[in-house]
Amino acid sequence: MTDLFLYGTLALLLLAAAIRLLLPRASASESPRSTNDPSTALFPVHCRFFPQMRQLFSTEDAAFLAAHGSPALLRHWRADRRTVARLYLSSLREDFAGLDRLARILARNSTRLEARQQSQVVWLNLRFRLLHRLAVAQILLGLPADREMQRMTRLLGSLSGRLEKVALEMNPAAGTITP
Amino acid sequence: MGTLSFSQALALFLAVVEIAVLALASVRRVWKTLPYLFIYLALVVAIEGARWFVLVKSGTGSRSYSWTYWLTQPALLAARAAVLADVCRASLSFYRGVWQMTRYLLGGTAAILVVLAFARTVEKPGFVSYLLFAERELEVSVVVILLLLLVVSRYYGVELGQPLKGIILGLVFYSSVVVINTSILIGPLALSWPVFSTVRVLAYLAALGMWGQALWVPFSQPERPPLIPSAEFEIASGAVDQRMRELNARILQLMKR
Repeated sequence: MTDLFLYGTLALLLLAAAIRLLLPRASASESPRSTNDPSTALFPVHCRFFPQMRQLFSTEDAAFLAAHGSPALLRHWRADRRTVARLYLSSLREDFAGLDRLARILARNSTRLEARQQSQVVWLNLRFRLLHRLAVAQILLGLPADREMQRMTRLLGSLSGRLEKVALEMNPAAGTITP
Repeated sequence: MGTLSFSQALALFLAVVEIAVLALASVRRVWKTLPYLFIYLALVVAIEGARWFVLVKSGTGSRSYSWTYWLTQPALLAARAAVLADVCRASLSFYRGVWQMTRYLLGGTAAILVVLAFARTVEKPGFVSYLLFAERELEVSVVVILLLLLVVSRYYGVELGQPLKGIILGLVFYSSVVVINTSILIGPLALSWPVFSTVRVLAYLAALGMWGQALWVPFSQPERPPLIPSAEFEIASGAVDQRMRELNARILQLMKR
């Protein structure tokens, strides 16, 4: 009976997923940022401000406020700090969405991209998503997430560099670019 | 000559529909884009013809029909595997960058699933029982591979047109029904062979209907798509240009120091 339940459920779920994927995709804006120049929406912008964000997580500020400010002020500061950290995390995610889109455009159009490069991009993608989840969980628990954010900005830099390299190496065959 | 039984009438109807779909595939010159699908459809007609002949001669419950059915089934399974490879290639091979990775991914997944299928079924006693178990595992593999193909296509924004969509839907539908039907047969619920066979035939008829519909509307032979639509090219190249300008500006700043 367990066998029947497992296989039956699996088959139904796979069939439903396939039908869902075969249906035309709802038109959603692919651009991660609304901007007049779509090209600037693809490379990361927010990760450049990580040094300022690191200051936000410094223990010195918390120690100073604990010593000189009221408990209410400290609580208020911590709540604001969490809000800013969450906003910054979503900005990093936006940066990553832009790079991810560029990676897909390049993968679809490149004739020289190797499986190894592709799998590296997929691996970076997975690592970024994991780190993002971890950072969100840490912020929700009131813990500093500066180390995760630093690793996320490094990943963004790494992915950005790889994509630049791929884009510069791209040599589309004649007739493959719409004039 | 006596009247046809329900199973014989269904088998006859199935044969007619199979021949109709094969004829439609010939008219649409499917062999140019999906050669293995065309071979599969032709093979199905030939094998069903042989099965029909034995069915009329010996009857549904006869040993000769049962052996004919189960001995031809592996050939059909192998042909379906070739169709699977054909569909994957036709869907993504124009996109070389994507195809480079995806073929390893799909091939690797298929190899793992097939090995798992045989590992799980190797100790099943009896030829028919073994084939039933093995077929179920392989049909699960078919659905998983096709789902993976759809996920990759969706992720990279590759649009699968007709007839590919209809063919994939037909394959997934038939395989899913076979998995459920076989699980009921070999499970604790007592499902009789005639009911089992009828469900399979009906599922295959539905799949043929989906393929027929996909092939009904004329489709152009696929050409290499304009790999970079102008808007996309401007976005991608603009992004790189912008980045290069920023790098230049930084280097100039450093040189001024």
